[in-house]
Amino acid sequence: MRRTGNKLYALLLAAAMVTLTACGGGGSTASTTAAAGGETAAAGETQAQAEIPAGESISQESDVVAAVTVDFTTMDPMDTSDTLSGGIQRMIMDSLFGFDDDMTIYPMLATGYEANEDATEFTITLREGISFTDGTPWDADAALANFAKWDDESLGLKRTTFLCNVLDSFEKVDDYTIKVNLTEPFGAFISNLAHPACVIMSPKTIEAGVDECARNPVGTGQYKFVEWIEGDHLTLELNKDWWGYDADICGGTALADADAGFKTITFKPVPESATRVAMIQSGDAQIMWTTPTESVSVLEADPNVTSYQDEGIVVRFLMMNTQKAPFNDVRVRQAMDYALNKEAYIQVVKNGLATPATSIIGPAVQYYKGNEPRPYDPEKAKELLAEAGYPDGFTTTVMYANTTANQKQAEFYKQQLEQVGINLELKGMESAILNQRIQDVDVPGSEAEVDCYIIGWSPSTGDADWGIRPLLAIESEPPMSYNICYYENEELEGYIRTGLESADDNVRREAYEKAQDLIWEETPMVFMCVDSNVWATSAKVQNVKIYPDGAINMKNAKMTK
Amino acid sequence: MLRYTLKRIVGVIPTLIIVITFVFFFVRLIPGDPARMVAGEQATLQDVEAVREQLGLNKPIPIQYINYVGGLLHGDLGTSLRTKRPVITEVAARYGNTMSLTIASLIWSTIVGVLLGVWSGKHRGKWQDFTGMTLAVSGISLPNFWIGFLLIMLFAVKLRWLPTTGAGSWKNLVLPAITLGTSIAAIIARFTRSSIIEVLKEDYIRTARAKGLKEKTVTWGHAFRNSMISVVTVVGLQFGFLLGGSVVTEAVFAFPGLGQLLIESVNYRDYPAIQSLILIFSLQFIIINLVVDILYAVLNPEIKLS
Repeated sequence: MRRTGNKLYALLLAAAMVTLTACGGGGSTASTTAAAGGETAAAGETQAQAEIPAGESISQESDVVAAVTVDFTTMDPMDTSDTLSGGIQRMIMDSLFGFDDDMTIYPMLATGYEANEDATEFTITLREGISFTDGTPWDADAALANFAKWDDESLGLKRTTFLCNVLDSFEKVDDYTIKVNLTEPFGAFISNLAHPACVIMSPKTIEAGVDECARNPVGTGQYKFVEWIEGDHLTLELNKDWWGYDADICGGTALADADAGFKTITFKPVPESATRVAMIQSGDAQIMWTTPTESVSVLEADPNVTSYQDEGIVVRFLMMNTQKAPFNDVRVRQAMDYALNKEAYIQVVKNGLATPATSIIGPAVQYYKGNEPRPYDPEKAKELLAEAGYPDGFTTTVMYANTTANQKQAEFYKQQLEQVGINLELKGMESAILNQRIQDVDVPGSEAEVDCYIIGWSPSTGDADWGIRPLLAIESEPPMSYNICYYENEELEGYIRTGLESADDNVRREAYEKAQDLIWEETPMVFMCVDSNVWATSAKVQNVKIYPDGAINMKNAKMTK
Repeated sequence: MLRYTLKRIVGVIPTLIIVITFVFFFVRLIPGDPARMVAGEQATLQDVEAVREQLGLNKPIPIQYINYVGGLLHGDLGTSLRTKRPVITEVAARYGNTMSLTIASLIWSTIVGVLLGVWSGKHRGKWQDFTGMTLAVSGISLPNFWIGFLLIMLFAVKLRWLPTTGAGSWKNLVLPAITLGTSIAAIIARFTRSSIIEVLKEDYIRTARAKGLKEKTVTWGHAFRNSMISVVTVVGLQFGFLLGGSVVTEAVFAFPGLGQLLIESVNYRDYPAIQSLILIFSLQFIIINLVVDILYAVLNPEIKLS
């Protein structure tokens, strides 16, 4: 009993950790045979899949089943905190701005925007000729209905504070133009509109109340919501009139090929990962994510299944409390970095399904700038420790949620740090208890219980702001957010401000690049790896991808006989 | 007997009050903040506080208790913190699944268990007994999840006769029912065997044989009938347990039953859902115990209900 309980819990947590949005798949690897190792082939070059000639996909006549890790929580985007539900919502509802496969922002229900210099006023033009699947036209009134919902704190939705604090007022300029005024400069505003919480619902649904939003979502998307039987399945049906198939409305190139998309998709929550693997092998499911790392080789050997992996945006860290000795000394933090072998970590802990981290954010995130990872060098680590006054090492603790994956990480850290004389005591605990002891404490860092902490983070907006500010800004120290390093650096604060207060791409890029260099040098946390997303489909299915944030992307999915 | 039944039903009330109160305060003693869990990863303090207010978790605990009990009196089990739907809807959606899986498992395991038990008991110490008890010990010892995966690999992946997961048709029930029933069949077999061995020593069995009754009649008409009481006790107990949902089997077969609901509810600290599930499980146990007691009297008229 306990075993499975823990496993379920691990899965829930894993799903929750791989949080939020973007598009992906540029460097997808598809392999059916011996594509082991770090080699990544371009998506078209694999022997496994013959290209489906245009017009020969039978996907629009096919009902498919997709096996997922946990049940959905809600269909109300503003009330969603898990990637899985957010991913399904994005199939039903489109957003003003979306991410393409390289995770750059492109206009969807909007056609463009203009911002003033201070990044406080945004004028957004809307795409014409689109209707919601309930027949309501998409126009400025529909857009304002959504802004009004996002701004309504009284609804008590989980993501309300995401926008309501920055939204000041919004007005209709004409039928297809709106103007949004913000309370403070917010350069990442357009990225935030691309966040999955901000997909657009039909005004009729919004009017019908939050229960209707949560249970019966209506959007302008490629799929229509059919039903959701809690714990059993959720079904979507193709919307053949989707505007994304229409090159004229899209302004030249259609978002998806005319024969792409499945007739219906039934999502089934299957918490036990070995069962998900059995489903795809038996043909009970055609799509499955995420693949448990230990089953990747089994699926690669199965001729009926295609296994994929692609770089995600979840970065794994070992956070250190920079206000407590010995981690208040940058030399000790760097010594920790030298003492941990990232390559070994990826092989041992991640079964090879990750790449070494080169920044606090992953390469797919906007304004990413990589740095050269410090090599694995235990001697150098010992030198630095000696310089810092710890020639014989020290004893410290690490706190973490006791999932199987975290336990593996913690044991790895302990073994590696022992080599340089650091004795790491493992304090694994159930995540609700961990939250209480770490996130809910309101004391200065020097008095906090935490020494080291294991965390994975993915910036849900695809923007550097959400990859840095919640983790290292002074305002984000617990209980406010996740600066569990209790890191305080005025220089970094400056860069974060600059990035926030400008809508100018070049200004923001420069600020975030400097911030990333500074963070790399200061090492408030050891940057371990960027997780790969791993998924599998029936060999007959093509173009099913996972966005870097872990959400499913079936926009152009096709199927052969 | 009607009088007895009524008395027992009235006697249930104090038990329920204790269960309700105990569970209410006990779940709040578990460390962990439901508002934080519901708000999810990456939630800021503001998000968490908004959720707390929305869920009514900022009210004093005694007020929450009074509201909860008040709701119960009107038949309202509360609203799930996790899904924001009435708990009764959540439970109802899964109750039928758990019930059908329970019944399917119990039917086959009772038949197989009884046959195996009688067969072993009758041939005590001989090869039949040895075979039967080896099977029974294996049935108890083999872990559920292992049997489950083995069945999936064979019947779903290799032969493709049956679906791997889900619920709805009888085909979905076969593999989970076999998985779940294996250990129960083994337990029933062992109880039946020892009970048969006891009964076969009784004088009335010697009498029955002495008056020239067929061995079949002796076994089934006399020995088995009298060993039924222990079988009914075991089956009743197992029925109660199974109606609480089987966490392991449900997880392996992605079966939408009450076990998974309970686990998810505990992980989220979904107080109303945990409270209601425990309350329902307790009620079921009480009812089953009552039915078992009445069955005793039916099986053995010497037992008087009073």
